[in-house]
Amino acid sequence: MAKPQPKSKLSEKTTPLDHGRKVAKNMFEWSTNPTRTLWIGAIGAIFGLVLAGFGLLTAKGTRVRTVPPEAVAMVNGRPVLMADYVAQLESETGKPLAQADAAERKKVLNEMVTEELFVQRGIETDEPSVDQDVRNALVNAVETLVSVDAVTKLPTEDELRVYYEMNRLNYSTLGVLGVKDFVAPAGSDPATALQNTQAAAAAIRAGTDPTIVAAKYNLRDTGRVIGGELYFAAQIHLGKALYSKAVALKKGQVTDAIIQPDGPHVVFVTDNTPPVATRFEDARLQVLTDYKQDLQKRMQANENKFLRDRADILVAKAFQ
Amino acid sequence: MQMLRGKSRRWKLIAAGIAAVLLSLVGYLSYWSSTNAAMLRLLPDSLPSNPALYRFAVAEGQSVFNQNCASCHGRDLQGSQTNGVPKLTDRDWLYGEGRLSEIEQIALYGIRSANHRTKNLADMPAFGRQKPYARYDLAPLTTAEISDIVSYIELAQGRSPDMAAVKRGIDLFDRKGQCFDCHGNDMGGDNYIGAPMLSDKIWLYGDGSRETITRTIEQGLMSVCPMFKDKISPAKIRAVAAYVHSKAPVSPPAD
Repeated sequence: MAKPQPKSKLSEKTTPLDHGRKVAKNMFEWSTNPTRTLWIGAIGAIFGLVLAGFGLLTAKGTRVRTVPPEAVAMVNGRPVLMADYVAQLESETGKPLAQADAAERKKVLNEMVTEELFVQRGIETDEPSVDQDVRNALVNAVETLVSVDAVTKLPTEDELRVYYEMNRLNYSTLGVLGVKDFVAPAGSDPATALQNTQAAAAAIRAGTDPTIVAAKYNLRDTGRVIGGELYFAAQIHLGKALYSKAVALKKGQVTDAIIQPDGPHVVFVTDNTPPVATRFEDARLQVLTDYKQDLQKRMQANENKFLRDRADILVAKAFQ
Repeated sequence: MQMLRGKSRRWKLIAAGIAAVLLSLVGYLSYWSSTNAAMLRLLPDSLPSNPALYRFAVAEGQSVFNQNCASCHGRDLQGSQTNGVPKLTDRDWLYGEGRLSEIEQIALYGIRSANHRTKNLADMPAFGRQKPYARYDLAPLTTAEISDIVSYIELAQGRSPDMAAVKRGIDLFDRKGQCFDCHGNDMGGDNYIGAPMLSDKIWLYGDGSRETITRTIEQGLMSVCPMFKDKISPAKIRAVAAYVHSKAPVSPPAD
């Protein structure tokens, strides 16, 4: 009698559900094996530790036992960059690193290490709160830092044109004024002096050479303005009263007698070139500089506002 | 069963593929980081004499340049004469002599940036303004005086200006304008402070015409290059310096 053939597993009908159950059962058995669980836990822990260690050792400011390739030394975890070392050595010795001898190299490195140590010590002792120079340097550094993007960003032509239109009055040539300023000699009778200067003004208007007129009426050239001077310089040298009268005149015209503390003056205009508005194309460079400076100021103001908003500032009542 | 075996083989193949990709990635990263380290360990000026590392640095530096420097200097490194941004492909270095260490210093600390190691010793005053210079007192120049100085510069350029104006211009260049202080008595410039030579045909701003020289004297120049020290890694800074160095005619061939 033939033995009944055992049922082949292949011939068993397995539905996907059965298969899933089987896999789940196997996985459960696999994961409940205590030795295996321990091993998996250990591998996970080691992996976690490696990751954490990598993170710690590569984080900024981490204390390391090696010098990174871009540095020549580490001082309490802070690098002394090779590029800085090369530049400082060249600046101090006046020769490239390759030509510097060992003593020079060592000296510069020692100086840089000392500087780094002192800077670190200065931070520890809170130098910024006591040393005004350090405070000024910090203020300057932050001001420049917050506005560096403004300085380096190149505006478009449209932005520049809009800025030019908004600030048109700033873009003109500087006016030039040339005058001969005559005054009656000190100590002369005030009435005679006034009479003489009035007569001199009339003679110049009539077409006589101003120098001849001055000699005739005994007037002295003050020499306050030499040649053509820019408006603001002429104003400083002549004083507001004389300048305001002179600048309103054209070349070849003369003022009336103007009474001043040192006696009556008469001013003959030899040149008056008023400022001329500059076209955008001609003023572009200046517009670009002004645009950047304005943007810089705005960014600094924004930074100031941001810092004030988040700061805790208490002002004593008497000073509010 | 055969189906299961087939699936298992496929998974094994996928796993092997992933492992191979990961291994290649690790291998590439390890090569990349060791080459970067080797590039950084060299003194900057020695890099060009190591062709393999120099080539590696130049290739890395191009993308760094395009991301950080091209907005001003242009992808072709031609600069902008409209905005006073220097061209980086000629022999005329505004600062230094084009050595890789000098370019690296500028990439690290910039020009007129917020760091005490930056290049910030002088600017071009705006002589058409009431207060031409912020660093110390300088008197403004009149339009006529500026014109005389331009005539003197034109003579140095080999043109034929009015000699009476040139005579006055020399005096203004040496005295009132104090131009000699930065540009030198011979107009040779000073690449330590970034003052350009005025006797050659290379112009930082404009095309060297009378008009643009006049504008520069009237309105001044004070371009800024940002510092990248804390923005990009030391390796990228070395690489971008190598890239710029490679584009200048003084550079030795890569091989």
